Amino acid sequence: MNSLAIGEIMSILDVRNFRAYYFTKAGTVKAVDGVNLSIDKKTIIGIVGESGCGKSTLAKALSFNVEPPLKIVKGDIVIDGIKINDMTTDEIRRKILGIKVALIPQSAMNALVPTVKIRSFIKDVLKEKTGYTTLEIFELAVKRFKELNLPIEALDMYPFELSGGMRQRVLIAIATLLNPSLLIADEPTSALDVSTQKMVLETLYDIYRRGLVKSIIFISHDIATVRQIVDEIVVMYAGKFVEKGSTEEMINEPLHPYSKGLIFSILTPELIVRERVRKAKEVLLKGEPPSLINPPSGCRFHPRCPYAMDICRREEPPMIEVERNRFVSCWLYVKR
Amino acid sequence: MAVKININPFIAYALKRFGIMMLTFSVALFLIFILPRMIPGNPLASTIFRLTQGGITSPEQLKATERMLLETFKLYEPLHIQFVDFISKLIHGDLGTSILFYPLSVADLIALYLPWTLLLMIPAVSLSWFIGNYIGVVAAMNRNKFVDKVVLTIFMILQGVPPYVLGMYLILLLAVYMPIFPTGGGWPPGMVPRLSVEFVLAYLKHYILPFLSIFISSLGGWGLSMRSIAVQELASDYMEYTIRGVGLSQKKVVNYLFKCSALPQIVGLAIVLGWSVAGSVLTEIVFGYPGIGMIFWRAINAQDYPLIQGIFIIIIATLLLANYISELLFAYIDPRARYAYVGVQ
Amino acid sequence: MISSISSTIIRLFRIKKFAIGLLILLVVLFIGIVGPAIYEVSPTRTIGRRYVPPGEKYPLGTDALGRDVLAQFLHGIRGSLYVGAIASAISLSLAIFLGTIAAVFGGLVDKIVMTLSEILLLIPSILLMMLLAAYLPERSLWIVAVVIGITSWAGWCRGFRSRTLSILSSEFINLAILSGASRLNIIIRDIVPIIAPYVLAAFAMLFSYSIMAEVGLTLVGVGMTKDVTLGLMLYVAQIYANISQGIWWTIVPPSITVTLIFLSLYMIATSIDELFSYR
Repeated sequence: MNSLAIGEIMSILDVRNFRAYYFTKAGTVKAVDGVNLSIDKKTIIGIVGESGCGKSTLAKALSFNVEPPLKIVKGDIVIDGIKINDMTTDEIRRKILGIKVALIPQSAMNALVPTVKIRSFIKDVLKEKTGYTTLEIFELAVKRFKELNLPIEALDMYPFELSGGMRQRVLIAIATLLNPSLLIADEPTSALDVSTQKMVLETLYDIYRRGLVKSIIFISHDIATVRQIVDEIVVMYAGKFVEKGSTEEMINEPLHPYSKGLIFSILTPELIVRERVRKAKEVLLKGEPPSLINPPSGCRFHPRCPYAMDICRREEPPMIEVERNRFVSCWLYVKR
Repeated sequence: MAVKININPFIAYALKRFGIMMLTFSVALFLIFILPRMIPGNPLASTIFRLTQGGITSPEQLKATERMLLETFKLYEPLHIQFVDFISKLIHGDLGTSILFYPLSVADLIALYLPWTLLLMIPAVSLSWFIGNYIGVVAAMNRNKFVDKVVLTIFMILQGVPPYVLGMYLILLLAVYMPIFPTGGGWPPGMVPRLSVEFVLAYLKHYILPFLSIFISSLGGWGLSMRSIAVQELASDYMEYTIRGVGLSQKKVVNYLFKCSALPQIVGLAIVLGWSVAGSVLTEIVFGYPGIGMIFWRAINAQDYPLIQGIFIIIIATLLLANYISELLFAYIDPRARYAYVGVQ
Repeated sequence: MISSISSTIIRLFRIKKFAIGLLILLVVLFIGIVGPAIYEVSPTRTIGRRYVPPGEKYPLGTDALGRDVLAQFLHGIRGSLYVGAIASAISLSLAIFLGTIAAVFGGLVDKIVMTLSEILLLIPSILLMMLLAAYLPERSLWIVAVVIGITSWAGWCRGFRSRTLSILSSEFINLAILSGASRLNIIIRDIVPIIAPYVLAAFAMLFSYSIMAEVGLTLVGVGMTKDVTLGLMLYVAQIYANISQGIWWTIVPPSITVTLIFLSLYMIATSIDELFSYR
């Protein structure tokens, strides 16, 4: 996964051996503990895992939402060739947010200020970042709303006058007005009912298809939702990535025992051979995700893993490429 | 999906609150009417008795007072007739005649003194609203930092010091030990209020200390409540996203924060302005400032019941009205509250 | 349960604001209780010339009527504490009683209590007090305290009502009833610990409010006429224009003490509130 493929565009995102910890009184919570992620082509990547696996922390870190007690301990974030770590909060605010990276937060339903009309919000956000005139900003907004099939009238409304799904879609439109390279969507659909979910996913995909953003990182606990739009799936467990592959491969043939449990537990059984379901149930996520203050030695999944071997308890498995662009971090697949 | 605000629920709300206000006003009027008549030993009767026993020197004035008191309170009539009379006079704006300031009517006295009270209270309260709230937002933006802690401590102490106590200290400090300002009154004795530079300057000199005592002592309350509202707002999903998600400029964030947090405070302002008359009584007493509070005090000490009663009615009426206006204002201004009252999506 | 209570108390004391507030309050209480017993000078008798400044003979000087200010101060603290205690006990009992029956009985009782409290909230209690007190010719400590007490329960009554409602509807009470715990047991084990901090905070707030209200009432001239309180000291100082004459010793001690009592109780109440609302 840390191989830099040669693509026609330069690296959109490059994160290496990335670690972000919470320093609390109870101890250091190693929420993201050595993660490599690079995106060098137009793609939608889904990061999935149980709650508490560190995926939201990763989202926070990638969108520079790092405030004590959370601290980035190690690893650079490079976006479009720009190293973000050295920038001040103010520089990030002015030059990166909304321009290089945009965020759709977990609580997107309530993410718009209730006392400000959509129109003035857009104006306030864009004015400083672009230096456009008010008129230019509105023209841009109207054009974008039309493109994404959003009602123009929404511009003159307060957020609470819009339905939950519409609020979410408007937010996506606002966040990507300046065509950022990367869009990070942190559980954007978790609070919505199924039909609204579908509309929001469509808007997200629409934005991607039209090239308004180059890549999307879609973070969710819900594989069933994620697989509808993503090209690749990364499975995260206890602060680390354990497996990565194309959506199809991951759904049909998950390798890591944890991925098997996670994926088979959620997807409809008809898709999968019954035998596999039975096997998956063995793996199936007995117990809780481990404490990230004192993570288990060796492979972090070993206390829950039915295939755990001696070495799993002692040594951390390396991330190996089993096929082209197919990575897994598990001793079962290490040829010795 | 989108909802057009329908005005009807708002009117329904306005009517409902109006009903409650009128009910409360009736209860208050009833209390004002019944209390002096129910209390054992009937203070009104004993006042009349006291007056007839002496105290007022000229027999002519005594007679007039006695007649006037009987006229105002009609104690010889049965209670329900008294009540009907009380209400019908009130509707005609007749609050009776003052004993202390005989032969001035209570309504005239109030019209004479109320402007001075408003002149003191409205600027002092409004200014402290702005400054207190602004400091509150700044404290919230720097929460748990040094600035915040200093502001919190000062505001908490200010909140505990009533304006009249602060007034006493201001007089001791700035009028007695350092005689910069006069110790009290509204203007120098012998001067008559009129629109001249000389008078305005003299008035301002008397005005500053009472103004400061109300201004400073209200800062704490505004600041503390604004800080806690703003801290809650800052933790909201939308402020979080506005600040860290889209990266709005600091200046705009303060703006937004003020806008979101100030709405409940506007209601507070309306209520406190309605309180002006009641709230300034003690400060006016301490400074001998010639407003409603001052004549209220003199009325109480002279047992001038028509005047006491009249001022009570005025105070309660302004309070209830201000409260009503603030409720409507809140429902109208805050789109969230407006939405809540409309209640549909 | 004992250990959870003691750990809560320990946590409470760790809040600096609470500790400071309690310390100030205890000092004032001590002075008010013990002071008059040790310093045996009458607060109401003229004992010398008027306006003698603080000195060896009279530690805090004399007032406009030649009375000993220290004696007045000590008795005044005691009197004010009495007013606070009586008034807050009355309004707290009313608030708890009315709030609870409104929640438990619901229906008409609830409607009546709610309307009554709404009206009382709209008419500020200080005005009601003035109205009541203005027409009472002789006003002792008890009368003033009762007047304050019966006019200031409305807001807290609503608080107790909503708290009782939420307790009644909560899961664990149902569980406790299902598991066959006795009613007394439920009240002691489940309800009291939830309500107790709120009662404590309400008491502290009402106490400070009552003391302030007495000062306000008396200063306006509708409060205390008989017993010595901090309010009466300020009233006398005000009537005789002590401030503009620079006679600070009749003003500074009572006004600072009133502020300190208010602040200490406010600190205690808010720390209790903060500790328990974040659980």
